Amino acid sequence: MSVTLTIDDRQVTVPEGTTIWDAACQAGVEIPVLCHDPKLRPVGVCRMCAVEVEGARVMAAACVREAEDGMVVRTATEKVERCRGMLTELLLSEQPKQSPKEATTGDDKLFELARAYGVKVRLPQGNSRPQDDSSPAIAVDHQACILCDQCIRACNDIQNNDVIGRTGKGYTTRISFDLDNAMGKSTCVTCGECVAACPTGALINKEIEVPLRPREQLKTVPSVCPYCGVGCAIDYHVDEKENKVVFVDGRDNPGSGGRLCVKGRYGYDYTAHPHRLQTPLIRVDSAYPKGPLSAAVQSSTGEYEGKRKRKRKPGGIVDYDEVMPAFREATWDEALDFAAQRLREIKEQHGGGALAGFGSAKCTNEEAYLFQKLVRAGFGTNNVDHCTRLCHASSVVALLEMIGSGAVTTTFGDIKNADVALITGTNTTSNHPVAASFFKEAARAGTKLIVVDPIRTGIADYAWRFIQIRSSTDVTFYNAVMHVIIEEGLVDEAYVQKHTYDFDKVKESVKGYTPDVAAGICGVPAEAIREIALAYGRARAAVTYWGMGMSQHVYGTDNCRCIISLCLMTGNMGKHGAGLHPLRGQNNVQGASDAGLIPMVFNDYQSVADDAIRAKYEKHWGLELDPKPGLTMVEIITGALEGTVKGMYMVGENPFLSDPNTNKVRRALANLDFLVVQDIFLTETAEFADVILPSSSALEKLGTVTNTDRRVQVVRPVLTPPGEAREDWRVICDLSTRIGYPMPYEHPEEVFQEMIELGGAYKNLTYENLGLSGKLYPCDDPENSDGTVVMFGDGFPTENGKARFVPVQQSGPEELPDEEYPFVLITGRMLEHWHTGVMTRRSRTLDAIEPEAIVEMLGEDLQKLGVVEGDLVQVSSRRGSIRLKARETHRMQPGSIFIPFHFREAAANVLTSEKLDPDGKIPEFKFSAVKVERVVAGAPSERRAASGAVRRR
Amino acid sequence: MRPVSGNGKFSAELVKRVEALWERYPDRKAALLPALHLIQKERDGWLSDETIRDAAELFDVPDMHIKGIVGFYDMFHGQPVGRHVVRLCKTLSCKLRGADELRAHVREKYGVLNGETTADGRFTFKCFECLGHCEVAPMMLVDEEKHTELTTDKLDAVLEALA
Repeated sequence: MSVTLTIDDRQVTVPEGTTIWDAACQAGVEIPVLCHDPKLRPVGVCRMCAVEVEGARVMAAACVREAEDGMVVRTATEKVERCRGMLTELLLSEQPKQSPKEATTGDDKLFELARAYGVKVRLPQGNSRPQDDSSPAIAVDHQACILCDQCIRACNDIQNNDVIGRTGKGYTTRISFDLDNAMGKSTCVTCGECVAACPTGALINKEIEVPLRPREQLKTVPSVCPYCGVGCAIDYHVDEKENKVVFVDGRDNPGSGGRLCVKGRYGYDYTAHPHRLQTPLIRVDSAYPKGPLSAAVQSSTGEYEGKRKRKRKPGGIVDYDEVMPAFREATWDEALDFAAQRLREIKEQHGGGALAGFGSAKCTNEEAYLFQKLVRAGFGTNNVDHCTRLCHASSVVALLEMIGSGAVTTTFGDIKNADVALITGTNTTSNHPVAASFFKEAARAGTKLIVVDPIRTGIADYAWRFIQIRSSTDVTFYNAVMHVIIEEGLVDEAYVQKHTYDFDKVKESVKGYTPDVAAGICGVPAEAIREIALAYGRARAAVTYWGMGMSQHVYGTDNCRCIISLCLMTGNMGKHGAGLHPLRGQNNVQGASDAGLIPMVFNDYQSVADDAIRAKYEKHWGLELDPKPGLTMVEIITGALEGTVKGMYMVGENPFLSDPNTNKVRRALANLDFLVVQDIFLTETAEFADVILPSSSALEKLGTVTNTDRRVQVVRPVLTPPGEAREDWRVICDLSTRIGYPMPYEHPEEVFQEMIELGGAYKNLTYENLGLSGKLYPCDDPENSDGTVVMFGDGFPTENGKARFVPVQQSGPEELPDEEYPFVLITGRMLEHWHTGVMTRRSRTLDAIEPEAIVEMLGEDLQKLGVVEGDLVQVSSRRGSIRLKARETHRMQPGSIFIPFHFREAAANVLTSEKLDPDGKIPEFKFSAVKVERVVAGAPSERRAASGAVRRR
Repeated sequence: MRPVSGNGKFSAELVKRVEALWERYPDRKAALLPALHLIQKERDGWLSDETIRDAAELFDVPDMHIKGIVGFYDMFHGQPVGRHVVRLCKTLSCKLRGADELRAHVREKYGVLNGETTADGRFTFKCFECLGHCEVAPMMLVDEEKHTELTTDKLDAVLEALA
């Protein structure tokens, strides 16, 4: 049903239930509002949108009043204008004299209205409400607050964080955080959505790098967030003269919907950090033989302690004063010639197999493609890999094996169409915060979230059922779930028949996994397993999201096989609200994999061992290629240690911190004959380099990146690279040319089109049609379509078009806790930091929120050790030990601890084992046996008083 | 959403009564006001942050939702109170009939201003908006019992009888 009404003499027809405000927008009539935004549910508290409705007794608030058929509305009569002027004056009378917002980012809607209505304040201006400066990123001025509720709805309805409410009444009414705490002491996750929503100066950004100025005075560049795989669209506001980002806004696009998290909104200033590498560097003769240069890198492994008596700085990032004397500045020509010559020499002496390259999931698709081309064609080897090996390699192996495609089959936003969503092994609220906001939103709207995790993650707080399983019992758990589904006759026989094969094998293999058997192993009630099986099995549409908790095990591939089987047997594929989605950790890990930055495949997952495929590449690239799949990341490091890999080129990768068993990595890096590191900062890994090439950050180049949803987006140059730093793709081309394999590309899009020519996934896409919002590949009609959300509606890209079931049995982790090492260590990431911290620890806001390494454990475990929060503890495994501060949490299980791997002064990977999953070659980051010992003396109660309050999350 | 049968933080008796309240409303949140009165009674007459967290868990609502309610409604106490709460009406009828004098008397004799608790913890004194008994002004509410047509003598008698 639709209704037709007249607004300011314009007729407009709208669906029943449309508000007058929305109808006016459609008719092109602008009605001022302070409390309303189309993204938010209307509340009608500011009354600025009041309009006259013919025949009505009083004026109506347009944002909440529904349009009626035949209604005659006037939005700008003298009476209406007088009221708005009066309202503006009343609101303004309590504002600070100058708007805090106009003094910073601009766009204070109240002051704009005041100017529009020519309001002069005749009433006294208030100044008695407090300010709250406690958050490192956001300043709160309660005096400038008009209680419009927008921040409350932004926090609770958009980001679903439930932090902001209101408290008090009358004049003392104010927005409040949690239990009326200061913002910086609350559970606020600093996503800044409230700042974006605030129409006045009550919530404003704090200055980060350069003084804040209104948007109009700055250059705005639409690009993509450089952090996680969600790939949020961002508008960067840039001071061109300073070559620095002043502040950012979330940009509306079909993926992220304008939302951002703390890293995206406040973590951009690393690009302008004085540590940025600006000239090529060559190691000086006196700095050989090679080894770690900074005291922190030496001692972080525990081996060098006591050998050198240099004054050691407590923690932090690489100390340039310590490292720089080992290098001298060089010209690009000198550095590139030297690097090319040494790499060529190694190739000539030992063959291409003695060379290897680590590319980066933080670079663009074009750079990833060029890098693997350089290694394959220039080095003559397939020894090329990147950090996907450390995150979702096992997921991709299982997906390729079973459904013939390594990418997600659905998007994170499509959760809204699911009845049930299984979210497992992913700390989404920390690692993919914006995706998590869509999960939480779906939960509010009725999607049943089933969260299965050994850690009570943030998303578990929104779950319909949370199952805290014992670490490393996932296979048993999911086999039991499948057991129940089969027993209860909930298998989608028609789907299984039509689209899959080998189901009988899984049916057979899960027979022994009754809920009662599984209950004992997983540490959860049998009834809970049954309940979840029934909910998943009976769902009209069930979708599965998973993360590193599933993949980073020595049987990570088995874990993934289980959830894929579960999805297939219930026919949850090829329709909205269903499917499989491994959440990708880095901005371009999907794209880097698509582009062939993997030892076994060219771009688009085409096997290097396949003669026909290789022939195609040989023809296009004009030389013979190595048919042998290359070594994976950890195998390359092992090769370096054993001396079979002698020369390496690493772009944007920091294996010193990211790879398991740091002690081994250190020895391996020191053992390399020649190492070229290309990065934006001196990383821990660069301390072992012979040549260091300064490159561009994600904000300084043109190219494309592909997010976890398969959304290909264009990143645009926001800043110019500092000093002599160059875009990575140019450096790769230059080096390749000097090695003897010319790469005469002039523009990234040439590379993009070459990729498409050789592998069809990104077919039809161009920089132009990707536009501002990007496209989900595959996309048949880029002019009219956003691309494909749901994949595999009819069959799979396998040989017979069917998906294959792969049965698995529970196997154990490599090392179990014992008397000496009684704790289970799980490593992972924090909300504020990313990967090895190279970028986030150089972002002031992020560093201010989480400045130091911590280990999280339960209060009862702390108590047993006689440790209180804030105490220094020593955590050791069979491979090494680190010291860091204890933090109490309610999210772990007894006997299990969590350490984020961002901090080099307490590098979590000193403790982890380099044992690999046999199929995915992924290390076991999620399970190590460790011991925890307290370091400080003194009674716990005295220390507690000294350690101060820490935020509860 | 979550099947709640108490969260172990409140007495079984209270949880039973809260569950009975839930039956009467279309959604649980709607029962918050009567439930918070019960909870306040069980927790020494006031709603500490810890109590608020427990209640938020019981109702599966964010902490700040309950904090906002406690801040808004005068009959919920965000601070510790004495063994009794004395609410003296200060609105027009009572004011015209001598509420101000009674207030001054309380201040002088018992040493407490609006919102304060006597040193011996016997009672917390609050000046309140209209309590709806203008016909017998001035009046006060002591805990849940009303005392009407007050004089200083009458007021003293009531307050001194408090344990």
